[in-house]
Amino acid sequence: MGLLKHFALLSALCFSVAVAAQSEDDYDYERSSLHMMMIKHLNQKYEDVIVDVYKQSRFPERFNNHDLGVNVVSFAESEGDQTKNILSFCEQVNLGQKMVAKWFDRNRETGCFDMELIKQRGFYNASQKEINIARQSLRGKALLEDAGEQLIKNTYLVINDIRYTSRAGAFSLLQAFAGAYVGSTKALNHLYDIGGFRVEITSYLFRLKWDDDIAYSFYDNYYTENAQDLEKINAFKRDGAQWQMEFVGKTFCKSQETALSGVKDPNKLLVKVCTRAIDQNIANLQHTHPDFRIKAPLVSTDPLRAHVGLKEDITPESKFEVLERQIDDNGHVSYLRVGVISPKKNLIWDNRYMPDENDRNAGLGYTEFEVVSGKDFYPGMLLREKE
Amino acid sequence: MKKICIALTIMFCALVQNISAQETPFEGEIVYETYENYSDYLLKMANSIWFNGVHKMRMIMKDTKMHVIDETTGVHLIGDIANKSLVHFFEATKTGIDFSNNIESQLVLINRDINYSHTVGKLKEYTYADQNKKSELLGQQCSLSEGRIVRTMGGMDQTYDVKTLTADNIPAPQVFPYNLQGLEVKNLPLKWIYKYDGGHVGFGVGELSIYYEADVIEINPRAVNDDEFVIPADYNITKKSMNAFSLMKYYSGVKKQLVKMGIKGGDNSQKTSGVHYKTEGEWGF
Repeated sequence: MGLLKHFALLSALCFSVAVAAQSEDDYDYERSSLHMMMIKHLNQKYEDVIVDVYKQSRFPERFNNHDLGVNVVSFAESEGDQTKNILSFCEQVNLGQKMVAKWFDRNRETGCFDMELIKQRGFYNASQKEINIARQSLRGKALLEDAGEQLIKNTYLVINDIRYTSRAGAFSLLQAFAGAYVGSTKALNHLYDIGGFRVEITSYLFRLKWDDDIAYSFYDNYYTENAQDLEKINAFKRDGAQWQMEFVGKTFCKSQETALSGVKDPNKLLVKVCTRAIDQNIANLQHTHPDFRIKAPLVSTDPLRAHVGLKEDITPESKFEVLERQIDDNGHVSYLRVGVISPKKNLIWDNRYMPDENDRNAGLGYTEFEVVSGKDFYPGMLLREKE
Repeated sequence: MKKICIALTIMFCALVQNISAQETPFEGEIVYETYENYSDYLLKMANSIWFNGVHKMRMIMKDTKMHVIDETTGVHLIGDIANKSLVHFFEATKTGIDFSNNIESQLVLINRDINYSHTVGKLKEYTYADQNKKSELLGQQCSLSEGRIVRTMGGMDQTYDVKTLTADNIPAPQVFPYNLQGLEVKNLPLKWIYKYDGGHVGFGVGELSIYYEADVIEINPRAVNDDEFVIPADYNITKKSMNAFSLMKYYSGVKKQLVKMGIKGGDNSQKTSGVHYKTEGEWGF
């Protein structure tokens, strides 16, 4: 009986460990960092409704939130293709410099930097003092090189240009939404009369330019933790144009027409449609731009499962590399491909924002995969969409 | 006693001068920049001279007369409120149109019904009023006025949401409303915004909307000569502002020239000033 009790306890422990190990937060892996913005068209009626809905949309998963404070921009020279406007804007506000300032936690009052965010996002356990001492050593150098390679180089800006259309016109649609927000029954009934609506979003992707030369120049000429080092502090303020954003690509999504009749909470519906459209664009950008692809950990291996799904635009035809995170003797992090897997047809999780609760796959909680090549996978290995 | 009388006299004179200075309407010029956004249809109309972007404007004014110069396009507007005249003309084509016999078509923000083109534009709603809020612009204390103006024209409601910041101590000359589509302001505006909503039109037209924001960047009081309000004699100015074809012909000519000059529809990346933008929120870094 005593043995049985021990066995039961041991099983419970293993089970709880297994359950605990299924959380993505248990696994260390570098994520890309992202600042999100939207373009507001000041001439549009009820443009504040669009901004309000956008601000309620959730930040994309598996990216570090590299928020810089300003999330809404309007352009006088607004055009269908906003790429050149955005590039000009990035230059004028020195957006690249702001991205770097955030990475190195620049203090607005003193102008000093530190490595706290790098450590946090790079999962480094060294203290600040240790980092300073080790900077000249091989391991410290590796830390900085990795920070550049794995983290800072993968810093992105996504700007979303959002428009609403309906058969009754965007004005009528948004006017009705605005009225429904404040509880007007008349507005809600008008909303039902409109029929259906669509959201059209063009998302523009930009990346922070960061390579070895830029990194060395930064550490040599600008990085300082000493508030008395006015030369470096002033140099950083002066040389804002050093750090630039480059255009990577853009994508366009038109949501399916969404029916409004019978909707009790139009705000939730608008947020749902907007969030899904942005998620779709993020997924599309990842399909076309490999460096922008997220990684997601395997949370179990028997069967193979990960917390990804329709939100990542996974289909039965998708293929994923399985990557093993390795740290070499010099302290460098790298990702080694050890296999390829693909989703099982009817076991793709509907993890989109506010899925249909009646859909069986909405309750799955994971997508299940089968092996295409490779073996000896273990939880914590990372999946990344294969080219 | 004599000294007290002299002191009081001096103080009184200073007070009178100060009051007079406040009551004398502004004479001189202001320089302002506009930020303009238009809906797609309004940009693409055959005779549309509008484009998304920024204009640098100069307004010369004296009492009942004004001369507004759009330095970005070369378009001029000369108005005389005493004679109810308003002439719009363009340097590049040396053409213009005189709205004097249809002046109220240009006064859509006035606080009453308007008679234009043999019809009436009825005022449906007018809530533009002082909001008892102050702020400072260009070193001047300003009062905020805002509200909604709705007018029925052509069977459709034209809605304007208007906001102005006017300098408390600088009375505007009588003519200023002619530069604000008839909006009646007592003092010199240093900022004005209007959002126009013309509703949704079918048959593929879509939304009709405008955002217009003007910011004064220079105030230059000076003596103004009457010859600064003269329309060039060699310009071909039509008086047929009630005739739709004449209107279309004039504006189409202006539009064509603006496109040829690269001002309308040109590549914005070629502009040395870069894109003009507004942001919401505050940079953390």
